[in-house]
Amino acid sequence: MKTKIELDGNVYSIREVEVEGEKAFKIFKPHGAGEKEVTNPNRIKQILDLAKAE
Amino acid sequence: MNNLQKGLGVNGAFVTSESHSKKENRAGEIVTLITREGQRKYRYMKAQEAIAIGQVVSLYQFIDNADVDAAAAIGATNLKGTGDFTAGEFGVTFPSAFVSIDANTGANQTRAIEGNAGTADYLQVERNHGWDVALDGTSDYVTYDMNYVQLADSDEVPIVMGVAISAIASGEWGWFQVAGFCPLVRSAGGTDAIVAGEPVVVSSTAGVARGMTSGGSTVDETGYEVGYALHASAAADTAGAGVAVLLKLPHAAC
Repeated sequence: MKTKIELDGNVYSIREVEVEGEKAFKIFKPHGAGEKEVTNPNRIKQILDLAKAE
Repeated sequence: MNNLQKGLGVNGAFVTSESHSKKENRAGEIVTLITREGQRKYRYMKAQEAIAIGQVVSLYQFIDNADVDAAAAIGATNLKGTGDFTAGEFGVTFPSAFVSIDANTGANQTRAIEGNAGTADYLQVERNHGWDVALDGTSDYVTYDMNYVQLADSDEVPIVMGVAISAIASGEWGWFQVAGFCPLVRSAGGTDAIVAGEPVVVSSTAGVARGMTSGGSTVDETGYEVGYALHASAAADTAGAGVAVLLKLPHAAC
């Protein structure tokens, strides 16, 4: 699976993390001087589907 | 316009706002201006980050799904969140915050936050309205403030709260438009063109709106509407320019 996806002018970074003992993916994008997490469930699914397909 | 509403100005078609480092009006105050085309409404809110004229803002949800760290009995008026809060932030940084229990024991209870109780690890909630159902270590909570806004972004789940009518500095207060004719809403029409008469919605570029997805709207788009476009635009996002929109944000205008 790809760890970077370009979509709608944004470059998203996909990172595998551990949440309460379970492996999960978190997605981030640049924001200001830092970055912020994508929290929209529909958008997360869209980005992860793209990352798996490519 | 009432003289008690400080910081509003008018420049031709544009109503403008000062950026206040110190709060000059009541948090969430709504003012209606009589304008050449009818009426426009503005809400006084605090910016979590720097915001430019025409950018769309949404409610900033600053602590989400944290666990309660100590049981609270029926009638108790506090909530413990060890390490979750900063001393003095409620009532100051967050001017009018609420806490809701959003999962597990005691779910679906909401209280106003008065401040910290004793130490920064505790929230003092309404002293005359304690918990109706006790909280325990499984209870999850979320805090939010209707008058603390950030740039709206469809990569989150934005509750759209208004459009900036001037630059507002990070951490400062200003007026945001919530109803009526807005002559400048920043838009990325180059991605999804704005169609005259159709909804303008939040995009994944923070603070910037766009048109509906061609070929059909999505569930997200219908929830993230800003208003209706008064003209078409396929132009890319540009600072200081944008589409004219008839705003549709009734939840923010009250």
